[in-house]
Amino acid sequence: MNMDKVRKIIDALSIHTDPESINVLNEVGTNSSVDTVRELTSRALVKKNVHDSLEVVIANQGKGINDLSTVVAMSTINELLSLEDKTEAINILEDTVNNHSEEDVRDNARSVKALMALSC
Amino acid sequence: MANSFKIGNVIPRLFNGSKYETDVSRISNKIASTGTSNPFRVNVLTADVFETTALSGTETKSSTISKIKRMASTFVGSIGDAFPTFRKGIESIASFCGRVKNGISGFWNFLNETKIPSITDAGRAIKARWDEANYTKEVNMYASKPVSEIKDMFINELSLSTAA
Repeated sequence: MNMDKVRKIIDALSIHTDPESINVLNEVGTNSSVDTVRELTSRALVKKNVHDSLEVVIANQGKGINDLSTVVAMSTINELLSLEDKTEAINILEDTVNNHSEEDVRDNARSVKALMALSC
Repeated sequence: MANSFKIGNVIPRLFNGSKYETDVSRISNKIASTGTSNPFRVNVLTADVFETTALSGTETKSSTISKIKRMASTFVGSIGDAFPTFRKGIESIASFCGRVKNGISGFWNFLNETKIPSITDAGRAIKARWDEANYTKEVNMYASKPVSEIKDMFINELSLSTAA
């Protein structure tokens, strides 16, 4: 695998205007067995800063902030904290805390929400 | 002509005038009385240190000592008066030397503190900038393609990693 090319593809999908790019990142990138690919994909989804992309990394078990890899989870949280406009992310986090079925996902969302409130 | 001019009569008067003059003022210093700005005002001699009256025995000795003391006093007075000028000169020279020294040491410090970037670092920086520009150009090129095409490329790259 040419990691440099993968990085360019993920960055290209992160700036692509087509909403289908979110599905590609979700289906291909977040399901990769390579931690680096999952990390880059999660960060790309956060950079998009739209409802659908943020929902993938916040409200999905095993993806984004809920990834089993600490590096991937922490990197996603860091990218969320770096957002200039955190409004959409906070809305999704609140929704996840209140309505998600999985307790782990709710706990993670609550922690990240507290961090984002502190960083605002 | 009784009062005719003769060079032989004039020469003694020229080189030893006091011999022929009865009214020679030695206690009043004309220079000293010219004003307060006169630099010689403190050097007024209160006694004639050049008195040539013949003295005998101990008188001669004490008189000589007295004269020496007066001369020394006069000399010291002169030094005291002249010294501020010398001091100013010395101070200005010292100040100038200090400035030169500070200038040299400042320049030396400047040379020591100046960091000249190496050519290697400059080369690395140029390469990094060049790589970044190329990276952005390629990303924009990928982003201009349809998502389906990018997806195929993405899957292809990841499958290569799985195959490897």
